[in-house]
Amino acid sequence: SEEFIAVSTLARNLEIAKGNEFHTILATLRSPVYINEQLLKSELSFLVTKILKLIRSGNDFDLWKGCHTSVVTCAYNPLVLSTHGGQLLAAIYSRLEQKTGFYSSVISSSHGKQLFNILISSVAIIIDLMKNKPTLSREALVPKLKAIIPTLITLSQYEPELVLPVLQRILKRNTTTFKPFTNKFRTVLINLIISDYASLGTKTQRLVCENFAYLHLLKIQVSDTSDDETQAHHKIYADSNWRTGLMSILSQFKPIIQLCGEILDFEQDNELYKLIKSLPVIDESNNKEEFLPSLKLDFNAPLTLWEIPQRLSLLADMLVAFISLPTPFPIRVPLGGINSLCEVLLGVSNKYLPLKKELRRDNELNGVINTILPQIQFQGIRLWEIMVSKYGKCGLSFFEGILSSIELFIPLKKKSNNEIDFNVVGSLKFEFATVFRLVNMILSHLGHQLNIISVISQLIEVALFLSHDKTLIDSLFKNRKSIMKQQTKTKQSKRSKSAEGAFSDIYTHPELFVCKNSMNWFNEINDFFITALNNWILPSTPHIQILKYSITQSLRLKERFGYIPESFVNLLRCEVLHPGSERVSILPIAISLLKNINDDMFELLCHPKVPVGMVYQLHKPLDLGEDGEVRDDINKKEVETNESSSNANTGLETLKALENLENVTIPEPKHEVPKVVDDTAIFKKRSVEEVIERESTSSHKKVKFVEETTVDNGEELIVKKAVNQTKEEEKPMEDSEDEEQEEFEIPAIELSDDEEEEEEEE
Amino acid sequence: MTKSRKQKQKKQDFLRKKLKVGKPKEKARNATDTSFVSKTISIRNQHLDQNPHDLTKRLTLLKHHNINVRKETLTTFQKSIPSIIKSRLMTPLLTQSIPLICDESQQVRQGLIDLVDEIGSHDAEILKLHCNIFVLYINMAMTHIVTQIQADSTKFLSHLLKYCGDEVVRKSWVKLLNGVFGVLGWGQVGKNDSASIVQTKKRNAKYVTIHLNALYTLVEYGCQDERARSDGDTAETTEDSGTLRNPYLIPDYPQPFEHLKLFTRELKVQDATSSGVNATLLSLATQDIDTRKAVFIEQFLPIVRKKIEVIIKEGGECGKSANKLKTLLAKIFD
Repeated sequence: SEEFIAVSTLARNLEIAKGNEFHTILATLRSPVYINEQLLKSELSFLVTKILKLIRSGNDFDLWKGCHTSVVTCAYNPLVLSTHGGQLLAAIYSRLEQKTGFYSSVISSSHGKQLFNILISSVAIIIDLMKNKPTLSREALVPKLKAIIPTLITLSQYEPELVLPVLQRILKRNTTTFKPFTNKFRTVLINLIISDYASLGTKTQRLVCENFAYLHLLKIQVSDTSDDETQAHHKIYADSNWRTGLMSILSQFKPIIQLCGEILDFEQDNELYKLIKSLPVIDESNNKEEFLPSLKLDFNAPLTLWEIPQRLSLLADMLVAFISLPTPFPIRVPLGGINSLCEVLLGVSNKYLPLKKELRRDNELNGVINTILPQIQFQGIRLWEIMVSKYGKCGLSFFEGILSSIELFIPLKKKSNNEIDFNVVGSLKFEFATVFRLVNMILSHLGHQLNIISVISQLIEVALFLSHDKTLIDSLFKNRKSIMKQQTKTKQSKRSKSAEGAFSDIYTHPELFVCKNSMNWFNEINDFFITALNNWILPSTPHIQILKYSITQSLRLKERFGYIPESFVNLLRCEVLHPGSERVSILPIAISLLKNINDDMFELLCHPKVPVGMVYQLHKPLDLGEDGEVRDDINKKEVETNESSSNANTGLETLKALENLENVTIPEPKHEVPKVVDDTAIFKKRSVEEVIERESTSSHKKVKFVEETTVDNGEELIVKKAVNQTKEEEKPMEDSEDEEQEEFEIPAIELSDDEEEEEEEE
Repeated sequence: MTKSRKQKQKKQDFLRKKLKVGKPKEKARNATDTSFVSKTISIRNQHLDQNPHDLTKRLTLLKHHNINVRKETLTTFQKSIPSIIKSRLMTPLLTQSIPLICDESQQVRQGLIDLVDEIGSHDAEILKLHCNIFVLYINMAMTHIVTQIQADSTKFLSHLLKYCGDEVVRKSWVKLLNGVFGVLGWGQVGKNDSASIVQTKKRNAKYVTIHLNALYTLVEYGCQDERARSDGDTAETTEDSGTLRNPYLIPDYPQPFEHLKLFTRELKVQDATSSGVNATLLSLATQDIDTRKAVFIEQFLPIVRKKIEVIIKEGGECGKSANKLKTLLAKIFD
């Protein structure tokens, strides 16, 4: 009765299927109709045997198909997973083991990498599917893991990128099962770290470090257990092993920083010197964790100094893994220690510390030192970034210190009065991106309470500088002039002419040799600007520069993408709301940039809406106004009294009352009601800000409204309002077409006027 | 055999008229007579006094070589300011007359000051609009080689400050301070004590007074906010400030976004070191009081204080002005 393709047919076709047909078979197998117990015995087991056959076949393509099919059936068919999952896993795993045995020959074939990829990922997927299912994992998964793990560990030497994520998951979930293989895995990881850490991708580097950290989830079999026995009476924390790992990494920073003491004269700065001395160390001389080879530095071969930042970066990577990974138990993180470590790292700068005397003469050496110092500092910034992002407010007490340390990272020109060296800044763009991420996180916690503005203004300068597109050929043109002068003196023309032909592009199209900024960068910078504008009134130079940057960049991006990216919209908003010491806000510019975007805030600024409360001005004339005329002051009083009572109710009542009348012209789009509350709030705020002592004199000049209310036997009511200042208010909203809004907007001023009146009386 | 009349007529058509020397060629019978007679001829272009009120023609006279003509023209314009103040003529008038700041004749310069005063008293906005050119030429005058022109430059400055002080200090605070300092002989850029201005300064204290007064107004506008300034003043300024404060209204002065420099191409400061500290200072935007104060304290205050003491000791009219300046500085910066 049910119309579907029999599993057996699909299974039979599997063998010969290729390309599209195979896709369709897989897609069909996902159908829920096959989750049927009646099919299980006959059809599904037939399918599984077919799959198994594919997996076991010698043909790599068949193996590939088998892997895919088994993953799809296991994922979508719980029946197959629970009955045959183990079987399939075993089959795939055995092929993986077999292929691993012949790694070099397999990988040399054209599809070797692909094959390993599918084998490992299908093993991983099936393991993931089985996890947390008690019976399944107990019966099928765990026993097999013991066989799978060593294979994966072996393979992780060759394919860390593919295998490490799988191993990491197994390590985290099945820690005890992993235990016997810990040492082996450890050797593999240490080998990776020591020998070819630098040649791995950043993602893999992180994986290596994370796996290394996860090894500390379990107790390492320490050879001499005597130490543990003597301390057995101590309370054992769940994270004791984790913490030893963490501390051992942390302690390795100190000797390297002390090495920097050979370059910079730390003794000039007492506090820094003390801080370095107080860095955490592990006294145990036979610390097993220290597996890294010692550095080989030689001042005679300056490039060897590069090893310092490299080593620090490695250590920072590992420390980051320790402090950022999720663990099944709570861990104790020495935030203070890490903080002081970072502080020391940032202190390693030749900004205030002099170089050692004997080094000052060697230019090449100094060049290398100048490049490695910011890199050393950068490690501190990285650590802080992770610390702040993971532990947030826990480090609140450190934040101000962090900001003042960041000031050390901003390069200054030598022998100048706090001028930023933009040449160096330009070369540290990546590092500064991290700085801004860090600063944004910190500022979001601190806000305007912070009073170290010097860093902020320096950072703003840096941000503005780095947000310009960087031309690569500026220096070329600069040098060019001097070369030209030389050429005129010594006429060696022929050679240079032939050379010039090659780079004619540089002269004709200099605008093409430009490094552009990424959107990520802009987003981060805009965030920073927004916080700065929100919290402080900046001096006019940076303020104007920010305004110019935001306007030109958003226009440029609008032309490129057709829309203004969100962070720029936010920045523009912020600039409009915080005009700083500007006389005029850039509201009109912002509006014309964001013309087609329905931005609520700008909408409100352009068309200030009045709460429906204005309608009850009409209400009173109806009661009083039998004699025809109503005076302004009475009106105002009415408004005041009504204002104090709840707005919405009276508004609606008056509306109802008015509906009974004929020919009433009221500017009252009813749908505005829900917004009322916010609007009043904003208006109140604004008008209160505006109020100055001389309000009484100015308000008479500013706002004059005439109200003519005529009531003829209660039949006709015409209300006209003429507000002098309306014209001024109306101009910014040239783009509004509908008259309704214009009409409705008029009373806005009236209300504020009323409020001014209130102020007066107070 | 006689030919018929028709035939004769036909023949006549084909007869060739003989042209005779000295006699005009006979006109065709179908020619139209276009000759006319008139009693007067009027050629508009050459009208010498066609519209005595068309002042545009007089603009060029501002560049006339004769001093008297230039001065007369200025006076004419000054007289007609009330009628043309709202017209389109004002921009060409100002752009043409402002260069006269550097005019060699003292009378012409005085005439220009009067004109500026007249314009300012009618509509200060127009001066605000052209304040950039003003500053440009005042600066030019301040560094002018002719001593008299240089000495008069601060007069223009103080008159300009009277009408658009806020604009001027916002736009060119550092530039003008440098200029005034140069005129006073306190300049930091290349101290030339032997420069003529310094020499005459010693002889002519009158100018020093004017310079000091100009400096006084400049500092007053630059470093004091409106409330403090209007302490002694009338209430009118306070009301102004009240309306100025709202940054969301349509501004009541020209070119509100000019200082953003959205459409100007900024020159790159290639080597800040070569042009000294001043290069960075000049690129500074001095839109707010705090920045202006900071710049003044950092760059100018110590020099002013030092020099003022000397002048006060010398006494006289200069001493008085210097003392006034001193109290102002004490009020602002202490």
